[in-house]
This record gives sequence, C-alpha cells and structure tokens, in this order.
Amino acid sequence: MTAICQTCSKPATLRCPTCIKKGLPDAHFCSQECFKSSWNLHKLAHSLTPVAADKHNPWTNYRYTGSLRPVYPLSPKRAVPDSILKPDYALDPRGYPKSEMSMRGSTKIQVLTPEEIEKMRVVCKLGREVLEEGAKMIKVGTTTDEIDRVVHDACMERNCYPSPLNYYNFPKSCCTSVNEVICHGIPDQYELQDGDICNIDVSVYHDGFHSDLNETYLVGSVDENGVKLVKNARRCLDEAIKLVKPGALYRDLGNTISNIAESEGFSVVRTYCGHGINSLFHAAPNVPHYAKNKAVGVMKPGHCFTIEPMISEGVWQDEQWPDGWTAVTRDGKRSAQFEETLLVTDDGVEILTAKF
Amino acid sequence: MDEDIPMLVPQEQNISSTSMRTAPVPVTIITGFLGSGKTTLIMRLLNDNTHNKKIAVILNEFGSSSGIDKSLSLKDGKITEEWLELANGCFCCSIKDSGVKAIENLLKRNKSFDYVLLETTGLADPGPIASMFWLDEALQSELYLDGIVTVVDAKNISNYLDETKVGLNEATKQIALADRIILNKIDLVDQNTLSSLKTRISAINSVAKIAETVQSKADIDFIFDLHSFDHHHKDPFEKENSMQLEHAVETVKTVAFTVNGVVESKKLDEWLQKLLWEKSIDKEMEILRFKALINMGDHHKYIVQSVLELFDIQKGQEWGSEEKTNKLVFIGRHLNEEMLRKSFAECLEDL
Repeated sequence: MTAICQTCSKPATLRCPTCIKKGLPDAHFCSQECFKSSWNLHKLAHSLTPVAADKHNPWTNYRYTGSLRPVYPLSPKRAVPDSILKPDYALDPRGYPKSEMSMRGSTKIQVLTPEEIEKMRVVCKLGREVLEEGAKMIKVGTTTDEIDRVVHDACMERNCYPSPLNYYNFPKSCCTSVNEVICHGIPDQYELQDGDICNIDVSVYHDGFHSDLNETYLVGSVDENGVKLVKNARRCLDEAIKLVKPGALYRDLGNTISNIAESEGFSVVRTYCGHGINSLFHAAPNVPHYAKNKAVGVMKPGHCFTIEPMISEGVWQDEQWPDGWTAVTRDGKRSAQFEETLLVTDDGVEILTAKF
Repeated sequence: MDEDIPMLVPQEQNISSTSMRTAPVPVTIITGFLGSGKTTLIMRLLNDNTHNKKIAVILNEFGSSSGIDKSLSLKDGKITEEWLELANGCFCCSIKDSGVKAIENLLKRNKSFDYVLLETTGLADPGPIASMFWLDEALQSELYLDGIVTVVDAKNISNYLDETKVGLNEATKQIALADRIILNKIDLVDQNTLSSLKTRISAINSVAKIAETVQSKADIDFIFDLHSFDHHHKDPFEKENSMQLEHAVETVKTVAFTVNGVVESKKLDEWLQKLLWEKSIDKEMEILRFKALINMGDHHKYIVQSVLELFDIQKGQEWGSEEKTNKLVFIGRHLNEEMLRKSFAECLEDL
C-alpha cells in the first residue's frame, strides 16, 4: 500500500514526526518542500484532540519490549490557573526550561541559603502530600490518567505547579510507570491490573522551588519476585541515603546501590540519574546510580539533590517508546524505583520529602 | 512564538535495534576558528580512500537552541545530507546530553559508520563538549571520545591568541585542550613567524604534537585513533621534549615534572579532588587539562586523564624496561608549580 502526499497527492514515504510522537494518524508527505507548504494548515492537526476516539494503541508497528501498551487518546492537557506561579518552561511552545539550559554542563553545585532551605522544606512537604493523594488511587481498574487528575488537583489545592507539565512538552502532571516502564511513563487510559507494579513520580513547584519524589506501589497481589524487586529498590535508596553527609562523594552512591541490586540478581538502570534540585528542576550534581562513575563533586551542607535508583529484574538497558518519553526495559522485564529529595546538613542528611 | 517545522521522517523507521554493534565508535572533536582549514580537513578525510572508514560528520551547533543537527555523510562517493532530530533532552536528568544521544541514535540506525568527526563552531570551547562525550565505560555507549584536534591558521592565530576578554579567549582554550594541533596555512607566513608561532603554541600546550600543513594535509594517523582518554593510550608523553617552555606572555601554559616514588592510590584520588573539584590547593589555579603516568608500586602503569573537573584513573600497560617514575603534565592558567609539586609529594608512600 502506497501512501500519498497530503499536499500534491503523489506517492509519499515520509511522515510528520510530530504526528508520530503525538500518536496521531500518520500524515504522509513526498518531500520537505510539500510538508513546508502545507505546514500552516497541517500543524492545526497537532493541537486537535480526537473527540471521543476509541481507546487504541497508537504505534501498532512498534515492537514493544514487554506486554504493556499505551492506551490512547490522552486526556486533554489540564489547566493551571494564572494565580499559580509557573516555572519558565510552563508556557514555552517547546517547553524549554531556559534557566536550566543556560546552566547546562556546569558542575558547580549550588549551596542553598537558610531562607532557600526553608522554601525547599515547604515545597518538599507539599510534594509528599501530593504523592500520598495520588497513591490513594492505586487499585485494580484505576486508569493512570485518573491518578494524574488526582495529582494535578492536589497540586492546585496546594498552590503548586506540577513540574512535569510541559517540561520539554511533557503532556501530563506526573509520571506513572507500570511494570516494564522504568520511568517517564505518560498517564493514559491504561487500567491498572491485579499484579501490576506502578510507580508514581511527583514533582511540584511552589514559591520558586521544586521538589521531586516517587514510590512504586503494588496493585492487588504481586508475585514474589515483583515484591522482592520493589523492596530491593527501596533498600537501594535507603542505604544510599545513609551515605549522605558532608565530605561524601556523589560518585560513591552508585557503588552501594549496585551492590544491593546485584546481591539479589537485579540490575541498575544507567541512563537516568539523580540530580540537583532547587529553583531549577534539574541541576548539578549529576548522581549516577551505577558503580564506577566519574561524577564530580563532594557533598556540602546546603546541597539539595535527589537519589532515585531504578532497579530492573533483568537487563539494565533501556529503550524509549515512540512518544519520546516512556523508558522501558529492553527485555520487557519489570523495573522499580523510589526517590526522595535530600538536603545535606552539617552532620548528615535531612530527607525533605520524607513520609510523615 | 510559532512551532518550528520539523524534518519529516522515513516511512519505515527502525525504532528499536536488535543487533548490537560489536565495538564502540571513536569520536574526534575538531575545533578551529572560521577560516583555519577545519572544513578543508574534514573534506579531505571524507574523500581520502586510504583509511577505509565510513565517517559520519556532525556539524554541531552546541549551545544553540536549534533542535536539529545537520550531518554530512559520504555515500557512494558523493556527499549526501542527512538530518537527525535531537532527542528532546531528558526528563529525569539523563546522563547523556542530547548531543550525545543524537549521535548514538545515528550510529544505532546506521551500523555502517565507524568513525565520527564532530566539527564544532569556530568559537566553541572544546572543554564542555569533551566532558559531554567522555562517558563512563559502564554506560556501554555506541561511541567513545578519541581525541581533540585543533586546526589553527598560521596567518591569524597570533591575533586570536592576543584577544583579551573576560576569562580565556577561545583560541587559547582550543590549543590548551588539544591532543593534536594542525598548524595550517604555513605557506602564508615566513620561517621566523612560523618558528615563533610554534614556540608560542608549545608554551600553551607542550604535550600536543604539532603538524605543519598547507591545505590541512595532515596524516590520517595523526588524527584518527589516538585513544587520548582511555587506557589504550600508550603514553601521554609520547611527544619528545614535552617539558615546559618558559614563555612569559601566555596566561595559559604547560607545567610538567617528574617525581620518583610510589604513589598511594587513595591519596592520589583525594589530591585530584582537591586539585580539580575543590580547587583548594591554590584558589587562583585553573586547570584545563591534566595527564599523568603514575607508579603505584605494582607491574602496571596507571594513567590519569582530566578535562576540566572530570578525571579518571585507569590501569594501563605493564611497565617495560623504562624507569618507574611519575610523570605529570598540567595545562592551565595561573599554574603554581611549587604548590603542585609540594601537594603531589604528599601522595607518595612514606619511605
């Protein structure tokens, strides 16, 4: 079957990448020129949400690594009232965090002032409350989109902007990562199944500062190895947190995490790392969770950062769905994650997002 | 603001690759000012039929907001253009910058490429770019950083080096960080100018080998497969007479020295942290590049490499018949040799 060009009706083999990413029907064009001449009209299709479209898998030709499928259409983008303070990327057409991008490549870790630390305490407490609201939704039959709605509303009630929303155009207010999804899963119409594991990753922005935390939850009754995996991921985080104190090296956290994961036959995802967090969502330091890394930096009082190990049942390698976000294990086996936002204190660590 | 028109993508996009490339692909960073002969060098390498390499050239506008890279590749003897869309950065702080990711994706899609030349913009600072591409081995990337080659224009480089600005000028950084320097357009200057130019460049970076060329005609071996950042690097001191030259004019210079004794690995590591991360050995000192060959008392040489704050200690080949010593080379600004010697001496095992 030959597709035809939307502009000139000649046979076409090229497709609009934005339509692919958004899970819209393929739009074919024969050349960049034809694409360009139809652009003003075509781009309107990108902002249209199919009305009451049937639930479907938008990438039927994609070879999924496991059994999970995206369930589209996504719900419309949720609104944030003008009264809520927004980060710089919230209204940017491409969702570029300009303040973050200008600091890119810098290894200089910000030392927060007592006033800034106080603001971090506040936003981290709010983040925890929001996550706990989302967690109440974990049960068989809930869609990940419903979790997102609850997280979004919980943010609004607390005068918080949900940090993921429009960050590099991320479409939703939190990440929900089920089974083989390592991280950055997009909440959609998928209904949680008995035996699933599901991570909810919440980040919120309030009074100029971000917080970031996540937990993996068991849905219904999960098999023995699934429970073992989730417990292991929690232990990786807890043991790594114990190392945090002034003078400790960021690069050493990965050694401890790797040892714990590998002791039970699990692996550590290497592509995604913990990060500094403050007035920027992602900042220096870079905190790898794998052993033998060159990460720069010594911990000092006033540093704020996350540790968020992603532990996989099988191989550590990941790949991405065509949505440009969802990271899945390459072998389709499950992956679990826990995250807290931490403050280095004069004599150790304060878990700013701790459960109360 | 309006949405940019993206580049179309082919019908059958091979999104996930099944087969793994057996060996990672070397990346050479090529820097040099506009008009230095950088593009001439790349075109020569692309058209050279002696190396049997399929080269992907990435013209990278690092730091620009453009989401698209333009790449030139050689297919059937003619240059074709290929566009790759950069991945949209990352959500949860990916270890690899989007520039690295875009090139990895290119290599995944096209298994036939076996070398990457990264052509930076004229005013690029190679330090942050090199840091980005010097990936942890654990990441098992499709690519590895092989070296930094800087092309300089004999006619104009002095002016560029003289340029004053806040911080270091780009010409100085490009020379300081280079593993190889191509001193090009030597036909445009007289012998005296050329020899003083060589002295000047060596004063900044006395470890990088220099090739004197016309029309960027440097040997392939001079550019490719240097292994400047890994343990296959034979000896970072292969250039004869890599000791420093006294040259008062340059703000950036090379300090090199040799110390006898056995180094304690833990002390060395702590010293490097103080030197490169904390900068607590001498607040004024700014080290751009550091290389060392270290004797830890066993049969192996240990090689230390650093670019800006990033450093790595790797086990190298076994010692041969040569004397087991510690050789150190620092390239940077406001280098305090006395402090460097004194502080390094504390890494030695007590006798």
